[in-house]
Amino acid sequence: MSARIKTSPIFKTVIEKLMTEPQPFSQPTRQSPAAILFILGRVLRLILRQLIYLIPVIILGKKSNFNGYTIFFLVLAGVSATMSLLNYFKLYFYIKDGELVLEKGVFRKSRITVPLDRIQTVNFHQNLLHQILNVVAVDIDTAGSASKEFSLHALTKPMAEALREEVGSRRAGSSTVGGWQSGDQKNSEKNEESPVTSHPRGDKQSPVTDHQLLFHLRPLDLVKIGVSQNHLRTAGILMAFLLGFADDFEQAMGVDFEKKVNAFIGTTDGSTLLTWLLVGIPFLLFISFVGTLFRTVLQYFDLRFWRTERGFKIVSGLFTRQEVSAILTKIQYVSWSSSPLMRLFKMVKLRLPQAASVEVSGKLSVGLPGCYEPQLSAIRAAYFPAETEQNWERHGIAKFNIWLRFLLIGPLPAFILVLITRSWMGAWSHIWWGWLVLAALLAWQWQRTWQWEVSEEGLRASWGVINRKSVLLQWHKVQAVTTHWGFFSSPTGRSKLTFFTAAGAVHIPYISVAMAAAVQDFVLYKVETDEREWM
Amino acid sequence: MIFENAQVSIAELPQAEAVDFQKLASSYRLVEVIATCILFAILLAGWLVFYLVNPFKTAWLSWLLLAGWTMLFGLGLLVALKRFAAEGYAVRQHDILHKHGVWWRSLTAIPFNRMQHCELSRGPVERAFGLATLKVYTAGGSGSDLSISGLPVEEAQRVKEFITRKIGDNVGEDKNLTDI
Repeated sequence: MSARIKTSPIFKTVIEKLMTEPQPFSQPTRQSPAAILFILGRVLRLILRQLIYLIPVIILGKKSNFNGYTIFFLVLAGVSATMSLLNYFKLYFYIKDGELVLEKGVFRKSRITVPLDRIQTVNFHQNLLHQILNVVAVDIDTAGSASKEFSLHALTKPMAEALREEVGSRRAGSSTVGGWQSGDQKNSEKNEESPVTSHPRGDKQSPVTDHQLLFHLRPLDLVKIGVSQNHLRTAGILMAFLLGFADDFEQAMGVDFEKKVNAFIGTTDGSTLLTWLLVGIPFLLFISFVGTLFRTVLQYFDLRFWRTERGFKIVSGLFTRQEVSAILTKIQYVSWSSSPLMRLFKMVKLRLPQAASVEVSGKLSVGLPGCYEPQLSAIRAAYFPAETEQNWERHGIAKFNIWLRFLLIGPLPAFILVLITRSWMGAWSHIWWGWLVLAALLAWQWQRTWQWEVSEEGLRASWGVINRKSVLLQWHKVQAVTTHWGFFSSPTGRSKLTFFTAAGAVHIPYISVAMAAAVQDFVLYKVETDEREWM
Repeated sequence: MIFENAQVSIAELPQAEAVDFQKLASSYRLVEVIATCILFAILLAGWLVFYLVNPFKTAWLSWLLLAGWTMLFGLGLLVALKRFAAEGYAVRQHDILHKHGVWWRSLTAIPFNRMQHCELSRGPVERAFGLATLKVYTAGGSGSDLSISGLPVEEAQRVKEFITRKIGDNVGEDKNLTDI
């Protein structure tokens, strides 16, 4: 039972209050002086973006104008430096009456206040400069769709940790019965500490110690993830970039690429073109492959995944170290997916969508690019402690879906392929009709493997033939339920169920109208009688 | 476990489908019809230009298009009327229901304890007809927000006040729980 007392947030808060100063952050606090550099960087970037078109003029301009430009730039540098300094000295934050307050502004003063219990998450990130200066940038996300983000350029690590802890403990104190604590209580065995908390100077001040390392991405895992990423997406980005570049180049140099390409295609015969394609496409794919691998390493290098007191924390990145945290009550559902390659490696890609405001929802989708069964189980157990004790009732989707899906993916693509290749494949082009067999198989397999299960407390579903996707949802996270049904509906007809949460929706397609109505009624009952916090 | 977990008889759960849905204001039917007429008037103007310019130098194509326009107009009016008839909402003790759609019908339910706030909005057309739109927001800014157009103003205001009170009640209950 000692572990329980140790991890009780209220108890911890009391100890903290006794050990540290009585009211942390009650006094207006400035950021770390390192913030000046970041503000300066931002001001310069802002000005340069406005003046980007002047640079070629200056470089190509006549020498006689040189002095004028030098003075201009000196003034510019002076103004930005002063602005940054003033900005730094005029920015304070503090906690007062349960609200986090940010005061800033030199000429036009502004004061932003956020009630502490409205704060969704406190995230840190570090780029290379942050790492060198040993500071972190802090992003505070608040609830509500209309709210703005609240961010600090640079705080020392212990200070940032203390701020997060302060916000967290105030929040924990105000949460209702049945929070995360029903999860596993094994947090007290600390395997490894976060690099942020294990900072030598921060040891005494930082109260967060009960972090359990669930997963550390080894270099081999990183390579596996890199290999199994979607390379076609990189190819698409690359193509878009090249085309955009060609467009810019055209405008700058007055060369018409399209004409040249057309002329080239016009003068060469089909076989040369084919050779070009045969060489070009693999080359593009190879570049994309290297590109994704590189991007994966940059983004997920040395990824560490912790179970923290109130949820999870992920730190990753080679140059820019990113730290995101997920609070267990904020996690709306757990979704995981795997491509065929990932299944070969026995890995899944994981996503933990959190309740957040619209602007930051992309950033806040906490997830792991790849992890193994034990991590997935740990997350499922934390999100839905009673999952394994439930009676799960299994259902599929209507057989009718096979036909619909076959018609959707079968005839039209085959027809188009035949049409395109007829000119140079002749009668052989009809080989594409073979696609119909494959499409039928895919459609059949899709229907067969679409499964959803309901229990007293939640839903789990999995679907997909090539990429498998799964989702685990607790009923009390649901905010709205919609049933859709088609024009020709009848009691045996087809209907779609949608569960909306504060972080996206979960759909169940092609079920009977009666079933959809029954589940809708049941889920409404569950949500309306549940008094747990859902976000 | 602090909360009780009594067994629930699935057959006895309140059924969302079986509720008497409240129809929209009858003047909203006129608004729907007028909106359809305006859309088709614009299409007719396009047809007129086509007829006068006559780019393909054929008379029959114009008349064929006009026939098509007439048919679509009829269908459009029918759908507008059907849409009005199909739409409805219901306020229950714990949630609000909204059904709508002709081709693709849907029934959405949002419990009061998951709502963030609600508001009324009135455009110029709605003001002219004494109507209002009720909007209900949930957290996260997802697609779960509900919007019901064509309510009589007084009714919309009553519903809005009811919902606001319900949301307030739920927040109040939460507060009480935390005080313990």
